[in-house]
This record gives sequence, structure tokens and C-alpha cells, in this order.
Amino acid sequence: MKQDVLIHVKHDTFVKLAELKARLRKRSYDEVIKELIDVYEKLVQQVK
Amino acid sequence: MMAPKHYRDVYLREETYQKLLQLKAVMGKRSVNDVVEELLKCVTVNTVSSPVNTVSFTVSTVKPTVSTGDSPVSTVSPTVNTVKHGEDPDSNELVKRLESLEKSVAELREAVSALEKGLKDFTKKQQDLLNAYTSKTDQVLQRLSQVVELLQQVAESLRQGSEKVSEERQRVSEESVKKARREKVDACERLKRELAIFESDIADRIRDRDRFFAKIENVCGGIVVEGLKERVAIEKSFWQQFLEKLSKIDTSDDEKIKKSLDSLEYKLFKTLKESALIIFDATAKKWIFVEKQKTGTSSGTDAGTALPSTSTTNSAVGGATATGSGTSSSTKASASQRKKHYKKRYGEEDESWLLQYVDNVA
Repeated sequence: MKQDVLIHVKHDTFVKLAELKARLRKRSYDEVIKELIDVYEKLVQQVK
Repeated sequence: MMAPKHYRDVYLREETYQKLLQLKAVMGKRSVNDVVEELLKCVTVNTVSSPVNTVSFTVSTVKPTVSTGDSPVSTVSPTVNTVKHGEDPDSNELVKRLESLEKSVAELREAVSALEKGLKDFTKKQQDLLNAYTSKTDQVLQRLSQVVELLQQVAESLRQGSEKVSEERQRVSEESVKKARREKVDACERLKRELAIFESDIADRIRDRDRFFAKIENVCGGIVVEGLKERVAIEKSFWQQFLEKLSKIDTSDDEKIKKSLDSLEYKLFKTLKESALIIFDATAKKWIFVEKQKTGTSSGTDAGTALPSTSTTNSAVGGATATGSGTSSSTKASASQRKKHYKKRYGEEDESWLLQYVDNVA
């Protein structure tokens, strides 16, 4: 899979992302972050 | 590109990165790492029980993440929610439990609202009751204040009344003292001025006439003659003068007597005559004063009673006795007998009848 952008995250954050990636059974961190963003946006919508 | 120490590399697609940048701008974070951290904080993974693509997130808290003003998520408040993805039976159960919780919460809210309503009604009723009692209390207090005012007025009026009464008493006592002094002075002066005071003349002005006549007798040294109808206070010298004049009158004719006496003397004469205190001795042709006057001053009165007329009568009687024949002793004896008889009949005090009788007999 071609990765377009490289970002740097702290080690702790990376560990959490990795744990989440394992739990969600995602193939990449990109998918995990996308999921996080989606959930966050839904939450914001619900709160609104 | 080497990552800094304690930093790890994560590859993202361009669009994901763009979204992260947008969120970074919205949240006001400094770096992308902060944004990811914030996302992880907000979205805590609770359970991952399903295979691929059946994930359920339970979000415990969602805090406001942006401190800047115009963010759309700046007013986000904490809520409890479930985000479902797919058809997980656990999630269904959770949904059911949540629904039941929601129902119970709604019921609780209704109960709370009912309680609030009841509390409001109760408060209103209590307020009404309190208002009623408050108004009554106000009325009672008002009346109480009126009563207190009235009592104060009554007390004030009583005080004024008692003051007036005491003043009046003082005034009356002073007046009575003054009146007594005036009366004392007046009685003597009046007697001197009028020479003879008849009780009938002063009856309507002087209430305590006994005192008046007693004063004249004791204080002024006047003579009080008690007639049949009234008493007469007579000035001493006037009385002597009157008796002298009377002794000179040798007639019982009223017209002649009236001519020889002035009006006051004649009035006194008439009073004495009506009271049988003076009697005309037909034999001696003189008027005799019968001693029935009520005298306090013995010497003056005695002097008054030692009338020429009386002495004349006595002398006349004595003369008759001296010049009389032997019948004089029998006449005297019979006279004394009659005297006793009449004393028995009319009483000891009625001297006038006796003397009159004796004189007539003589």
C-alpha cells in the first residue's frame, strides 16, 4: 500500500494506536486513525 | 527522514492527513500527535468482540477539546452514548439495557417533575396559608396597637381627670376656707349693718343656718331669739334700744306701735309678738318680754332679759302684793297651785303660757 504522508507520534500514542489497530483488526494505522476520526465526528454530530 | 527520539513513524494517506490537519486547526492543537492523542482520549475502545467490521465503541466521556472560540465542538457536553456498527448481539443487549435505562430515566424525570409540581403546589398552599395568617396577625397587631393607644388615651384622661379632681378639691377646700372666713366676717358685719337678721330672709342663701346663728351668738356677741316660726339674730345694742322703746309703749294698738317703732323694730316686734315672746300687760299697760330666747352669751342675754318690762311686771306684782289686802297671800297660793297645774298640763318648758296665765290672774 502506498503511504502518502509520514507523521511522527509519540511512543505512548503509538502504543495506543497499535493496541487499537490490533483490537480493531485494522491493516494499517491510517485505517485506525480514520476510524477514530469517524467516531469523533459522529459523536460531535450526536452532541449537536 | 529520521523521527525524533521517543517518536515513532506512522504513514497516513493524504486525505486522512488532511482531516487530521483540519481537526488540528479546529482543536487548536500544536501538532498532529496532540490531535491523535485527543482522539484517543475521546474515543476509548471498550470492547472488541466481533470479527472484522463489527466493532462497537462505548464512549465514556466526550470533553470539549477546543479552547478557541469558533470551534463547532466547543459546546460539546458530556453524554453517554453507544455507537453501533453491525449486528452484534452484545450490542443489541446493551442497546436494550440502554433503552430500559432511558425509559427509567424518563420515568424518573416524570416523577421528579411531578414532585416538583407537588412541591410547588404545596409551597403555594403554604404561602397562601401563611399569607392568611400573616394578614390576620397584622390585623391583630393593628387592633392591639389601637387598644394600646386607647388605653394610653384612657390613662391620660384618667390622669387629667384625677389632676382636675385634685385641683377642684383644692379649689373647693380653699373656697370653703375663704367662704368660712367670709361668712365669719360677713355674719358679724351683716349683723352690725342690718341690726336684725331674720331667718326667713337668709333661708335661701345660707344652708347651714344653725351654724350661722351659733356664730352670731358665740363670735359676734349678738342675741338670737328663737321665735315660733323663725329665729332672729339681733345686734346687742339694737336689742337694748328695742327693749327700751318697747318698755315705753303703753298700748297694744298696732297702729300706734307701728308709729312709735321704725320698720325693722316693728318687724321684730311682730315676730316676737307672734311667737308670744312679748306680751302686753294690760294692767301695767306695758309690754313684757318673756324669757324664751336662746342665748349663748349668758351675761348679755341676762342683761337683755332683765328688762324694764320684766322688772316692771315684777314690781307691779310685788307692789300689788305689798299694797294688797289679806287676799294677796291666798291669791299667791292659788297662783302657785295653778302654776303647778299648768306645768303638769303643758310641760315644764312652756313658760310662756304659765307666765301669761299668772300675769292674767295677777
